[in-house]
Amino acid sequence: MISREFNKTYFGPGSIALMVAGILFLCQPRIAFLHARSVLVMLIGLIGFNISVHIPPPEQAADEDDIGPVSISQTLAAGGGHD
Amino acid sequence: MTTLITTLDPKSRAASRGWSDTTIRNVFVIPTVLFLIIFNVFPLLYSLAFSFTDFRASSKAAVNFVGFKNYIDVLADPVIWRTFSTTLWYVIVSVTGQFVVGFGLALLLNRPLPFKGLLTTLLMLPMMLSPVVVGLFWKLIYDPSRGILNHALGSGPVARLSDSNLALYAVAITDIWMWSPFVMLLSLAGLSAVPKHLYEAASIDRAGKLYTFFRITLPLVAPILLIAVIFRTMEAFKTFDIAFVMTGQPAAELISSRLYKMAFQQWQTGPSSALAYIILIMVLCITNIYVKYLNKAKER
Repeated sequence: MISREFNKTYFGPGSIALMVAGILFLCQPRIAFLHARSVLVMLIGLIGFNISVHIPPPEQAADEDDIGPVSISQTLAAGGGHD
Repeated sequence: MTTLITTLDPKSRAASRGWSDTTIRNVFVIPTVLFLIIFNVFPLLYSLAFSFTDFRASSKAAVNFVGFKNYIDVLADPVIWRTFSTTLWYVIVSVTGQFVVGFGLALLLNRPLPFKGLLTTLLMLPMMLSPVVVGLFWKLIYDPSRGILNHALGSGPVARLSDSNLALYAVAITDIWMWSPFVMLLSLAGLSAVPKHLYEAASIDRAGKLYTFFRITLPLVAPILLIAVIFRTMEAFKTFDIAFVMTGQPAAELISSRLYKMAFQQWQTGPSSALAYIILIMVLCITNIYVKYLNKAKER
C-alpha cells in the first residue's frame, strides 16, 4: 500500500523520472547495456505512473484563519463594512 | 427552429419521428464503438500477438511462438539503435528550431503591425499543407542543379539530401518551416493572455525590456510553451512522411521509416510489430508526461 504523502513526494515524480530515463536510454548512442534495458525501464515508469495518478492527493490541513469565500453583498446586508 | 417545432401537428409523421435515447444509441453509438473495435482495438491486439511470433506476412509458413525474442533482437540490432539515436537528434534539432522561430514570430506579431491578420494567416499556411506535398516541394528547393536554395546561396551544386551529414538537417529545416506556425499560434494565445497591468507596473518601476521579458512575459507564457514543446516532441518522434519522401539517405533514416521498411519491404512482420510496440511505449510515456503538465497548466 502506497501512502498519499509517499506517492506525492517520491512515487509519482520517480515514475516520471523513470519514463524520461527510459526514453534517454533507448535513444542514447553510446551504451548498449542501457539501450537493451530501456524498454523495461520505460514500462516500469509507465505502470508506476498509472498507479500514481489513481492515488488521491494528501488531504490538506484546514487553515484556522481562513474564513472561506467572502461575499461583499452579504456582508453589507448583514450591516458590516466601513461606516 | 422553435417556430418549426411549435407549428408541427403533434400527430404528423414528422413530429412522431423524434428519436429516443435507445434509437440514438443503436444508430450512432453502437456503430461507432464497433468501428473503433474493428479498425483500432483489434489490429492493436493482433499486432501485439504478432510481436511474440515469427510470422511473415509474405509467407505461408507455420507461425511459431517465440516469446520475447523479437523484442530482444530489435533492441540488439545496431541499425535500429542508430536509427533511434538519429531520431532523438532530429527531435532535438527540429523542436528547438520550431520553438525559437515560433516564439520569435509570436513576439513579433504580439505588437501593433500593419496587415497583422493577413500576415498571421500567411504564416499559418505551411501548417495547413499535406506533409507529403511539403516534402516534395522542399525536395525541389534543395535540388542540386535546379533548386532555388543553391541558386540563392550561390553555393554551387550542393546535394543536401544525398549528403549523409546534411540530409537530417535538411529534413529538420523542412519540419521547422512546416510546424513553427503551430508553436507561434499557441505562443500568441499565451502572450495575449498576459495582463497588461503587469507591464504598466513594470514600466512605472522603470524595468528594462529584458527584465520585463524574463520576469513577466516568459514565466506567464511558460506553461503553454511547455505544452507546445511536448506536443511537438511527441509528433516529431513519429515523423514519417516528410523524411520518407525527401531522402533515402541511411544516415537520415528515422525510426518510422525503418519500421516501414521492416514491415513492408523486408516483410519481417513479427520483429516490426515488436518495434512498433517499443515506439508505442515511448510515445505513451511522452503522452503521459504531456497530460500531467497539461493538467498542471490548467490548475494555474
